[in-house]
This record gives sequence, C-alpha cells and structure tokens, in this order.
Amino acid sequence: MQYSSQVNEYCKNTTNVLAVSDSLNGCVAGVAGDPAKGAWVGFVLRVDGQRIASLKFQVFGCPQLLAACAYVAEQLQDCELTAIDRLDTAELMLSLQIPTEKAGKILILQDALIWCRRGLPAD
Amino acid sequence: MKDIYFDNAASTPVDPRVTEAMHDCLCAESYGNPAAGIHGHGAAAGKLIEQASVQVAGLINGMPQGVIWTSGATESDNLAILGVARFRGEMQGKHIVTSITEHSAVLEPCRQLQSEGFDITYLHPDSEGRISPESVKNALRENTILVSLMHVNNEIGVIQDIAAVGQVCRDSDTLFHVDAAQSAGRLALDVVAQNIDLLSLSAHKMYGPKGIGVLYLNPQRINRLQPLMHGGGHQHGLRPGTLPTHQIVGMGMACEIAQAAVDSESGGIERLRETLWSEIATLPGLIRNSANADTVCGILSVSVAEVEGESLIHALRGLSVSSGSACNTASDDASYVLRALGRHDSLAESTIRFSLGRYTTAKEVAEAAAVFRNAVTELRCYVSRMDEVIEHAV
Repeated sequence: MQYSSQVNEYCKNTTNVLAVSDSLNGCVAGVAGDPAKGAWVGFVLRVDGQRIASLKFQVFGCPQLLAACAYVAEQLQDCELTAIDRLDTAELMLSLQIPTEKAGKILILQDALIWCRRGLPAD
Repeated sequence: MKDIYFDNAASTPVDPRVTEAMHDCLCAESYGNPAAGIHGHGAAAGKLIEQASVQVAGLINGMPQGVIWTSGATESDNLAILGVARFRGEMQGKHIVTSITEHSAVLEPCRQLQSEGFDITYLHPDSEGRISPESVKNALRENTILVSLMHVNNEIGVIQDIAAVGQVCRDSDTLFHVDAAQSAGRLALDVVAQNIDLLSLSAHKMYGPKGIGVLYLNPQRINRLQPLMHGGGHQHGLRPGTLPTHQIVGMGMACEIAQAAVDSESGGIERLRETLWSEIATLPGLIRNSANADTVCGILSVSVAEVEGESLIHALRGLSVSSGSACNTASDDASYVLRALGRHDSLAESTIRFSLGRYTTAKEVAEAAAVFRNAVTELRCYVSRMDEVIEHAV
C-alpha cells in the first residue's frame, strides 16, 4: 500500500503519545475499537476549564490510524472542548490523504474522542 | 540508503553467470525456432535446450527427457495436478491428497477439480507446519490418483519429509507430485531416491530469470497428461508453444550453479539466519514459527505480538521483507498457512518473513536486526499503556 507524505511524516515524528511518565490523575479517557480486530484507539484528555490542556493517545492500528491520532491530538491542543464535537472526519481524511477504505478506522478514532468528552463531569 | 533485500523466497537476484549465459544466447546464432531442427539455426537452439535439460536433470537426479519447460512453478503445479487428474480421473479414480498449507498454485487447481467432481483430502499440519507421512498413508484410498505436497513451505520454511511420503506413495502405486520451488538449490533433490513422480521448479527462486520453470515427469512412471494448452505439438504436446531459448539457457545455468553450490552455500546462509534471530530474539513477544522443525536455510518467520501488521511493515522501511499481513499480499485475508499453525488473525498479520540468500551479507543482517528492533520497540510505545487507559476509561 502507498502512504501519503503526511501519513509518513506523522508516523515518523509522532508526538502526544501517552508516555510511561504521563500521569492519568485528573484526566478522562475514552477508548474504542478492538485490537483483536485490528484497530483500537484510546485518548487521554486533560482539561483546563473549557479548554483542552492536553490530549494524548495510545493506538493499535494501521499507519493511517497512527497518523490520524497524532494529527488530531496536535490539532486539538489548546482548543475549546467544543472542537471535539466539531471534528470532521472527512476533512481529517482529506488533510492526511487517507483512502476511503480506511474510513471505518477513522470513525473508531472519533468514537474514542466522543467517549472522552462524555467522561467529563457535567458543568 | 538502498533497501536491503530479505525476500529471496519471493524471488532471487539473477546470478551474473546466468545473465552472461543468457546474453551469449541472445547474441549468438541460436535465434532460430528450436522446433525447426531441419535447419542449422533451429538445431543450434535445440542443442542449447538439450543442454539445459541435462543441467536441470542433473540438479534433481532425473532424466533430461522428463523435463517439460513451463512459465514457472505455478504453471507446473497446474499442469501436474489438472493434467494428471483430467487424464487419469475417469479411468483410475477421482481422489487427490494434498495439504491446507500448500501454495495457492496447488490449492486453486484442487478447488477447480472439486468443481469437476473430484474429491480432495486436505491434510492438516502439526503446530510446526509438518505433514506426517502417516497422515498421508491414512488418507490414501483405492481411487487416489495423486498426492501433492510441497517440499518447503514458502511462508515458514518448514521442510516436509518427502522421501518418506514418496515411499508411502510408491508402496501404494500412487503418483507423487512435489512443488520444489522453495527447495531447489537449497536442499538436495533426488527424484529417484525420494520416489518423486512429478516435480515443479521455478528459475527465479534459484537465481535464474523470471518466466521460466519446469515440470519434471519421471519417464518411468508417467508420460501422459492432459495438456492445459493446445496447438503446436511442442514438448510432445504436453505443453505447446515456442520455447524461449534464452530463458531456458538461463534456467539451465542456474540449475548447474545450484547443483554445485547446494551443499557449500546452505551452511553460510543458515549461520546468517541464526545470527539474525539471535539479534532480534532478545525482544519480548516474538514467536519463531516452525522453531522446533527442520526449516530451509534461508527462511526466518517471526510473529510479533502487540504490534499491528501493516504498521510493522510500514515501520520496516528500507527492508524488503514479506509479511503475513493482508496489506502485503494479493489476498484480503491474513495468511492461511499461519492460521493453520494456530496463529490468530492479528498475530498472523504481524508476521514477518525474512528470507536470506546467496548474496546476503553479515552487514545486512546486522542492519536488518537493528531496523527490526527499533521498529518493534517504537510501535510498542503506542500500546504500552493500553491496559491502563482502558481501565481508566471504565
């Protein structure tokens, strides 16, 4: 399979992967997918008021999914929480030139983010 | 940086001596049609083909008149299985024995024959990939006309005991076909001692050119098949079509070189393979497939836990390797061979086949090991805290 330069770049220089040293205290997590079925995503969200203070991830999946997680985590940093609701997966796929047959995996990413958002305490 | 080649089981580089022989053939006065032996140009080409047949026969201890030239092992397998079945089926029986881990060039003709009313027994291997001669013996019936087994499995490198299976077949007077595409030039082949009646070979797996192969028919056991193609009457009508002299010369030379090198070469390749394994085996979660069986010298198949297959291949940039991943094959499924060994889909997908060859160097092995270790370590960072995240989400 051919990969876009954007996917290659995000796979090569990945940031915001949840590191061993990162604490989960005070964070909410959202997961979706199943590693046994080839794709799983977990996001760990720390908020500051209505702002995303940090968004880190763990992921099991194809290079496009890895790149998409890194891209989303980068893009949503310091954004308002409502940016999660506005995430447009079609636009994300276009930005990274992800082929349509991978759309299902990108929806898993979106589901993990939605579960993150739902894990936040109500205002 | 130039990619490092570890895919010799898929195809080998052409040996310079083969290239030279082919070049000489193309430039010489042997451009006549080898079937046109009535004039000098055709006779010259015919002589080259005779010589190549002797070279092929020498590699397998066969007889030159048993050599049928084909386009490669896929065609040879098809001709052997379909040819025997369609010629003998009505008269002698419609049962064939093979295994579920054969190459698709064997499995697909068998499936075709099922649609034509044949009964196929697919033997299952043990957890190392071996088919026991006893299981072959137990599968034979009165109407069994053919047993087809590969000598060396192309994905995991496991060696089947074809001499023992050959004896079982000969005792029951059943024809025995062996796909030797992966073993020719790497293991000793002796169609007489191993009781092989039909043997498939491919030149490009043994440092020869692509597009040429052989189906060897033991002239004392079989001389008739139903051909796949018709017209021209070449090769006794078994495989018509004008013979490609330069490719045949190349395959002949490849066989001659292989015959001389088979004993001396395999030890060095096996040492390099073991060096590669020892340099990566320190990583946790690696399963060496067929670790407890005899395997051909150049193949190392490793399943990697906690890593997704497509990402692993992607991370192994710079290494030309093969994978059990569907993304790396023409099929949509994970390897059926690895699944037959009991690997679940995810693990089958994250399986890498390193296949070393004549030109693999110690430096390349060291580089490949480093690339592999780094790739696996990096990819595992993505899942190193998966369990904690799942627990936290709950």
